[in-house]
Amino acid sequence: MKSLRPVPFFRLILPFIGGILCAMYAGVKVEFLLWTLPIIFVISILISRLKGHFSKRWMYGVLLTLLFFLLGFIRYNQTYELNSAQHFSHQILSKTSVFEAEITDMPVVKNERLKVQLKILKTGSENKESVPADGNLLAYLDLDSLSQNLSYGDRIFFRGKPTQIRLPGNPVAFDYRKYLHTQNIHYQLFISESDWVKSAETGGYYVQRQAFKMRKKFLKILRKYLSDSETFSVGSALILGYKDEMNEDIRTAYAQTGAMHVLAVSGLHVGLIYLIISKLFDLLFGTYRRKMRFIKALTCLFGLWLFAMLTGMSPSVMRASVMFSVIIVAGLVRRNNRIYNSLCISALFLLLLNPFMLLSVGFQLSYLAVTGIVYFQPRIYALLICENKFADFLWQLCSVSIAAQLVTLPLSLYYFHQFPVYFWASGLVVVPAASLILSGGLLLFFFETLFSAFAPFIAAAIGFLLYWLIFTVNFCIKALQIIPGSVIEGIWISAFMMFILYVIMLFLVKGINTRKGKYLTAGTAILALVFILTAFEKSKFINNRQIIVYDVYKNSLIDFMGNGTSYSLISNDLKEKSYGFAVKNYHYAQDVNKSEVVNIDISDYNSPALFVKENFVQFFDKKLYLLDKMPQGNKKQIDLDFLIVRNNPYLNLEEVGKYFRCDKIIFDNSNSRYKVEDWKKYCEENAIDYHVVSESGAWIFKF
Amino acid sequence: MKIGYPIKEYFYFAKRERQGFVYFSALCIFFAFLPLIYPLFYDNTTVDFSEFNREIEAFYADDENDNPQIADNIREQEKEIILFDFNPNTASKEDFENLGFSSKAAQTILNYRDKGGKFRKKEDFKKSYSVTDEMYKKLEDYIVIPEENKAFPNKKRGKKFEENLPAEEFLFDPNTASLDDLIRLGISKRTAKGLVKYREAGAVFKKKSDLQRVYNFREADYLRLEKFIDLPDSLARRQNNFPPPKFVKKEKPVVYIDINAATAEEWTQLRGIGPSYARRIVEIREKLGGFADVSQVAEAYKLPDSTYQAILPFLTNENPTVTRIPINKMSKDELGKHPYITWKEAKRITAYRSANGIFKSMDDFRKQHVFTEEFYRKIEPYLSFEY
Repeated sequence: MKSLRPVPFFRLILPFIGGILCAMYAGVKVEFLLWTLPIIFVISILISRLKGHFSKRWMYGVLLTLLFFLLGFIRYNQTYELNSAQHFSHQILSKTSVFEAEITDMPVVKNERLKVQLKILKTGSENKESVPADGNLLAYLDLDSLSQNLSYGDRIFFRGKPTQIRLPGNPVAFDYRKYLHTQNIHYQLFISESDWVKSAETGGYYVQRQAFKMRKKFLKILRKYLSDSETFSVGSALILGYKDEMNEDIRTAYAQTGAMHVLAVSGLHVGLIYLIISKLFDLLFGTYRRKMRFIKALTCLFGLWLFAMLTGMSPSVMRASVMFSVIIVAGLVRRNNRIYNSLCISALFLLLLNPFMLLSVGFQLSYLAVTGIVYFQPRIYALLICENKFADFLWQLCSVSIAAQLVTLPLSLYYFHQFPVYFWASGLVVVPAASLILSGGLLLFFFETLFSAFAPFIAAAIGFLLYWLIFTVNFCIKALQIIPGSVIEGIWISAFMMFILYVIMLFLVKGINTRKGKYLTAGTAILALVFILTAFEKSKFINNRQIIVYDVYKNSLIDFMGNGTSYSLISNDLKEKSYGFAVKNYHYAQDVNKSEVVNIDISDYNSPALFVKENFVQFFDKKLYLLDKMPQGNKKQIDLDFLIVRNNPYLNLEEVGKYFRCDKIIFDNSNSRYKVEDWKKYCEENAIDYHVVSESGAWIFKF
Repeated sequence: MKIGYPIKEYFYFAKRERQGFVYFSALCIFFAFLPLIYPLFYDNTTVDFSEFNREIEAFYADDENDNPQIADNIREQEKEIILFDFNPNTASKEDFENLGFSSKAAQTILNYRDKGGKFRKKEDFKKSYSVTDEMYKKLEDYIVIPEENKAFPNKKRGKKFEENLPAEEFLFDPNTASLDDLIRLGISKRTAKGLVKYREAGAVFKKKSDLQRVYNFREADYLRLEKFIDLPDSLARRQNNFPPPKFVKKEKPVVYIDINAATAEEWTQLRGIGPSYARRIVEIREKLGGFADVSQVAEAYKLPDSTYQAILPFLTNENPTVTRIPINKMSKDELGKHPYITWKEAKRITAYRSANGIFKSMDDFRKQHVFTEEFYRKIEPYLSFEY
C-alpha cells in the first residue's frame, strides 16, 4: 500500500470505524473492555523497545489497529444512550412519572406543535424521591404564549410516560425511528399544556446560548430584507444554516437540480469563508514571512469559528469547521499540505466525540465530497485546456461539480433515489453565487448592526441587492428544474449495491492511474456482475402481483400492483404528502412506473386487471369487498377472498358473516382503536384470520 | 480549447487487456438492457370479470324481492345503520332513523306514542305498523324497556359466576381501562358498566379517591385496588422540591373578550383557547356575520362544552349587531350559504315564498310549518324583511 504511507491516520480511522460498526451490530457490555485499552497501549510500547523489534515491527501495527478498533467499539457503546445504567427507561414509567429536563436545541414549530429536544436530568414519581437520570427525549408541546418563549438551555419539569418511536407502518417508508437513532434519540412524548412548567433558564453551554442569540438577531435582519418565503429560505439556509422554515417547493427545486448541497452550510461555505479571510489577509498584509503565516492561520481560525458561532453552531457547521481547522493547522506545521491525512484526523476527532455522527448522512456526504473533489478535480480539469480565461473559470467550476457528484453518486442514489441530470449547470450558477450571497450576507450583518444608526442606507442597499441576487439564483434553479429530463427518479439500490459501486470506482481509478488494464477489466467485470444481479432481481417482478393495504392515519390507501403498474384506491381526505410518504419508496423498490390513483368511493371502475363495482373489487382472480357500512336487507351470501373494513363503521360482525364469506379480514387505520379491539376479540373467538394495520403495519399480499 | 492529455496514447491497451475489457463491457450492456424486454413476458391475458359481476348483481338483486317497505327504508336511507340499546317509549325520531327506520316509519312510531301508545314489553314494539318482522328480529336484542316490578332478575346467577373467578391484580387507569379489565380486577359487572357509563358521560378521574365516586363502588373493592390505581393520591402541593408546587396550574391574566370585536389573537388569551379554536370562532363569526348571542360561540367546530363553560364568564357582547340577510331577495343557493340554513331548508323557504308571497315580518316567517321553534329563534337575528 505505497500510496497510504503519507496518510497514517487512514490506517487508524479504518479500524476505529470498524469498531463502531461492530458495536452497532453486537451489543456487548463494555466495562471490562475499558481495561484492555491501557494494557494494549503498554504492550505496544514495550514491544517497540524490544531487541530485534524491527523484524517484528508488524506487531506494533497490529496492536495499534486493535487499540483503535476497541476504541471505536467502546466509544459507541458509551455514547449509545440506552446503554446507560441511569437511562430513564430503566425506571418504572407511568403517566404520573415526573421528569426534569433541559432543552438541548432550539425548539422548532412543526405541524402546529413545538418540537423540543430534551436531555433528561432527573426523574421520579409523586410518591417517590427523585433520582438522577439521563437519556434523550423528543417532546412535542402545545403552542401557546408560554411555550413559545422556550429556548435552548431552559429547564422544564414535565409529567408523562415517554413512548418508544413507532416503526414505520409501510414497507421501505422513511424510517423515523432509525433516523432518530442516528441522533441517539429513542423516545418521544406529547406533553399537553398543563403537564409542564419551566424551572430554570440557566442550563446549557454559555457559548452555545450566545450563538443562538446571535443567530436569532441575524435571522431578524434577514427577515427584514428577504421578504418572501423562497428568498428567505435560501438566504437563511445558505448564510446561517437555518432550515427550519424551508419552503418545500424551492427545496425540491434545489434537490432536483443537484444544488441542494449549497443549502446546507458545509465545507463549501466554510471553505469560502476561509478563502475570503485568506485573500483579504494576503491583500492587506502579505504572507511572505513565517510569522505572518502564523498570524494568518490564527486569523483564519478565529474567523472560521466566529462564523460557526454566527450560524448557531449547528452540527454540519461544526463538522466543516473542524475539518478546515485541522487543514489550517496542518498547513502551518508542514509545507506539503497532506490533505487526506488532515481529513482523517478531523474525522477521527469528530467520531471520537460523537461516534453516532458516522451514521449521519451529512457527515458521510461531506467527507466523501471533499475527498472526491480533492482527488478528482485536478484530473478532470486537466482533461480540457481552455485558452479563454472566462471559459477556463467555468471549466474549473464544472470540474469541481463533476468531481463532487461522481464520488457522492452511489451514496446519494442510495439515500435519495434520484439523479439530477443538470448538476453541472446548477453548479455553475450556485457556487459562485454562494460566495457572493455569503459575503453579501456578512456585509449586511456588519452594516446593519454597527452603522444602522447613522448610515442606514448602506445596509438597505446591500439588503436590496442581496434580495435580487437570491431571487435571480432561485429563478435560474427553477428554470433548470422545468427543463424536461432534469431529474431521473425511482432509482433503487441496496446498501450492498452501493458498496459494490464504490469498489468498482476504486478499481477503475486504479486502472486509469497505473495504466494497467487488469484493473479496468476487474472493475468492468464487477460492474457486469452488478448488472446481472439487477436484471435477475428485476426478473423476479415479472407477473408478480400484490395487494397492499397501507398504514395511513384516519385514511384508507389500497394498492393493486402488478407488472410495473399500480392502481391506488384512496380515501377523500388523504393528503398528497401522506400518499407520497406511504407509497413512493415502495413503488420505486417494486419497479412501478405507471401509477393510477382512483377515489375509493367510486362506484364503478374498469381496467384490464382491476374491476370495481359498488365496493366490490376484483384484481386478477382475487375478490374483495370494502366494508364501510353495515350491510342490510336480505342478500345472497357472496364468496370472497378478503374483506377490508375501513372508515370506522358500526358493525355487527356476526351479521356481516352472513353476507360475506372470506379468508381474511383486514382492518385498516381509518378505524378507531376501540372498535378494532372489539372486532379483534370477535375474530379471535371465532377463529377468523385477521390483520390489524394500526398494530402490525401495512398488509401486503403477494400472489 | 483542446484536450489536455494525449488521448490516443492514453487509451492504448495491450490486446489481452482489450479483450477482457471488451468482453465484460459487452456483458454490462447486455444485462443493462435486458430488463427492457421483460414486458414481453408479461401475462397480459385480460381477466374475465363477468362472473364476479353476475355474483355482485345477484347479491344486490334480492333487495327488490323483499318487503317493499324495507326496500323503501333502505333506499331512502343516506345514513348508516347504528344499532344501540334504546327504549321505544322514549327514543327520538333521529334515534329511530339511526336504527334503520325511514323518516316516515319513524314518524309513525312517534305519532302512536303521541296519541298515548305505550310499549310495555318488547313484543309490543312488533305491533307498530312501522316495525316489520325483519326489523324486529334485528332490533329485538337492543330494546330496553325498564320493567316496573323487578325482583331480582338473572342477576343472582350472574353474581355467583363472577364471584367464582379469581380477581387479578395489575396497574390500571380508571380513565382508560376497558370493561373487561375492570371485571378482571374483581369489580362487579354492574359497577364496572356504571363506571364506563360515568366515563362516557364525561367524568374524569384525577386522583385515586375519585374512583369512589362511581355509583355503588364497593368499599372493599376500593381498598383492595387502591394500590393498583395509576393516579396520584392527591393533587395537593408537595413539600419536597420535586416536582415543584405550581405544577398543575398555569396563571393567565383575566381578560374580557368582546365576542364580536375580538381578533383571533385576543381569543387565545382565554384559558383553553389556542390558535386553532380561536381561528374557528372567528371563522364562524365571519360566516354568520356576527354573534347575536354569547351562546353561539359554543357552536365553533369541535369546541368542547367544558371549554365553553370555562370561558363563558369572560365573554361579553358589547355590540350584538349582526349582518342581516334580506330573506325576500335571496335565491335558494344564496340562502343555503348561511351557516344556519341548510340547502334543503333554503329550498323550502323559497318554495314557500313563491307560493305565499314575500315575508313581511318575523311572524309571517314563523308561519311555515316545517321549521322548529329552535330554528326560528336562532335565525331571527339574521333576517331582514325588506323587499
